[in-house]
Amino acid sequence: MPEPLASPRRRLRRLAPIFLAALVVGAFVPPRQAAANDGFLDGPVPVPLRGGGVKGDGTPSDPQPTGRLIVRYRDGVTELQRGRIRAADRLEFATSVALPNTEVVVPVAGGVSQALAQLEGRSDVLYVEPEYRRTHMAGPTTEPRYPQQWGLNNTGQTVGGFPGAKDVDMNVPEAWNITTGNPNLVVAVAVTDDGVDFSHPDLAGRRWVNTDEVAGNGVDDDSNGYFDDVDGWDFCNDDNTVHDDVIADHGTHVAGTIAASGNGIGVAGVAPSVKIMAVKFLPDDPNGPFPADCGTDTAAAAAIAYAYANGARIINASWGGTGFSRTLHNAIAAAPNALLVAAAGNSGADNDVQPVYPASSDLPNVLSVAAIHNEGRISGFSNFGFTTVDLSAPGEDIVSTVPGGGWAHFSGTSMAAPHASGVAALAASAKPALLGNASALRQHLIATARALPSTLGWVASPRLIDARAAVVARPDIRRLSGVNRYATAAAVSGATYVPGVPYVFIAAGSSFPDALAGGALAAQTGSPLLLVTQTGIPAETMAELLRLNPLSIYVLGGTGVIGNTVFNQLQPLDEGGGVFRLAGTDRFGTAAVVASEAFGSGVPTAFVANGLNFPDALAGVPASAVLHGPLLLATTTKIPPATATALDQLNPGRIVILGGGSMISMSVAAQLDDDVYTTGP
Amino acid sequence: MAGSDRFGTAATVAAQVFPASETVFVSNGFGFPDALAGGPAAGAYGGPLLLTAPTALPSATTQQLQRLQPARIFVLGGTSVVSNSVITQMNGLFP
Repeated sequence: MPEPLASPRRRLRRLAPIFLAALVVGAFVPPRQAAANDGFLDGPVPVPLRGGGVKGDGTPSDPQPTGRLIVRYRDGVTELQRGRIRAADRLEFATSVALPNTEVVVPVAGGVSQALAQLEGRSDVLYVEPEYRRTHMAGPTTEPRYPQQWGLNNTGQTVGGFPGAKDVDMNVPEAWNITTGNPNLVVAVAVTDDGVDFSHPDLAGRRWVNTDEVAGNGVDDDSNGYFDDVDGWDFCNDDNTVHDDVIADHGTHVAGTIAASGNGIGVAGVAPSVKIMAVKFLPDDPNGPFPADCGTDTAAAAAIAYAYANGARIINASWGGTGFSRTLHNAIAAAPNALLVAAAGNSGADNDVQPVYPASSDLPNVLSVAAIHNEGRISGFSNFGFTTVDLSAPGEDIVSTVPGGGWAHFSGTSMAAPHASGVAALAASAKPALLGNASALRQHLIATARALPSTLGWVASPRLIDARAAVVARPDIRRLSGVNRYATAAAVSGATYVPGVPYVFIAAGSSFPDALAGGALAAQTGSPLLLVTQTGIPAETMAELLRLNPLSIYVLGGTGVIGNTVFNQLQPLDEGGGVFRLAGTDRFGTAAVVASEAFGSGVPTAFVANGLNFPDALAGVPASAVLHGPLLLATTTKIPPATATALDQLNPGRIVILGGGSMISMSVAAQLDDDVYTTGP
Repeated sequence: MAGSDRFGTAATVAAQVFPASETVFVSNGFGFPDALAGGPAAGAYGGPLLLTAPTALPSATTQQLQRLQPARIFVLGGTSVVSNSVITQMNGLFP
């Protein structure tokens, strides 16, 4: 029988710290110092920046690719393996990135997209993405008036004289980490209203432009029935100017709520990158003289038809009135792929009793929205309806753009609807399948809205529209399993590790304690754990061992759980590092041996779990990869001598007890707390 | 780190140790065989391991999945240890 080249103790002592150190710089892992000093990391949750983060330019510039790719390899991929990958895919190393296993590469042949596809297909690449150049620092959350926008992010700030209820908001900044809206999709949100003043600096870049029309040539270039309708159309005055008078401030306010630019000025729209199509049909001043065509059902029907024919698939309707109109109903029904987001009304009345149209239209492409205030209840003015109003959105003390370059606070369901329209635009940007499928988009907005119990009974779904939930991708849920426990372990390993791992840990599939104590060490060294029987190596385990090609193999537990036959069968399978056994006299002893092999005195953390029950220790295994430290075992009422001795030697910075008092009793916890480890059974 | 039961303890560990993670492992909280290799693998992905009952997703686990909004979830074991209804329930959290 070949002897190990070095004793297990020496081998691990020499190697383990190297890999632990490598893990310390890992993205998943905070620095050891911090882990040892700052409690249980229960601070505020950092929001991951995905999809390039928040861009804040007024006219969101197209992404500026550098022609390079950022590649993150899986843990355990060596520099040699990276070199092979680069050579195979004809890439050149450009620079390293201040993240683990991450580098920038340049394609030396073929294009970026080809290289992207090749790298994406590799199992040893965790992710690959094009590198972009960033040009603007300001984001929507740094807009000067953003702190007043409680509907986007309610910090409890006082708005309109009322302190808000913290976090009663639409989670908009969280959604912006995923998308601020796609300006290139046909996501122009039509604002059917009294016009939009696009000269407002906070709406710079937000204007939808009819690119099929040539401005000022007096010809209907796109044959859509309207001459020179570059910016939209005014059905009130039957002309191509979409804003006429500073007194018409309603549509401009609505437009700002949906899409005001994140440009360092004023406010941020809910979807600050989408375009607004202005379709005017309401009068400038409803109290003054105005042309006879203004505000009529006929004009409304024409406005909806225009928006739909020109590609808008989200239409905001911050207007309405009692009295059913077959014309209006049919116009909405004739735009079945567009979601019409309608304000419920401002009479404080029950729409179930007296319907308001278009909000109460019984059509699958109409979303009816009530208003809430910053304390999280239905606004006093807001119409409601247990069956006819769908849900709620912020609508009271809403700051947004007004003509002449200013901003003002308005209240009304007219302000709630554009909040919902903005979220609809974000959702359609993140999930293009929802764009043009109005009933699915409506259902999605309702299904992803967050519970707001105070609105129970007031609206059909007692919920507040939720931007973050509306844009997050559904996770990829995958089952890792085999025909038995051994095959499942092999499948887990196969999905996680690339060949050439430093260590593989081998545990008995018949019992859990050794696998968990060893698993903590496996987790911290980026190593797989595979299972065997007392007398043999199952075929799936063997195949996975051959694939992994480990430097060294560690067998967990004594001959009672893994016999020498198995130990000997493992001998030829290491890449020269040796095959070693880590075993004590029982489960507690084995855990102590694992701990003393790999961890020296002054380890930042030690975990203690019940060695007779697996769930708590199991959850602690991945946690140990973050907090660094061995997993030791106790019983509910006793600290076994082996555990006490190990803790004495390790002198951990702190001890994390996994499980409640029924698993590790208060008296054992007190002994651990007092460093009185030597009172074992 | 403790919760009111095994599911709660695993959720507490996740909440305190993993402020964010793109990957989550889920295994049966009443049987260890299919879960053993998952702990180190979850550690390698930098994500927590949460527990479920075989046919119903506990609320403590649900809360962590909703908080983390992971890009991928690995379920350990076949339908006899974690049923398809649990997977359906997880999908239902992310409409």
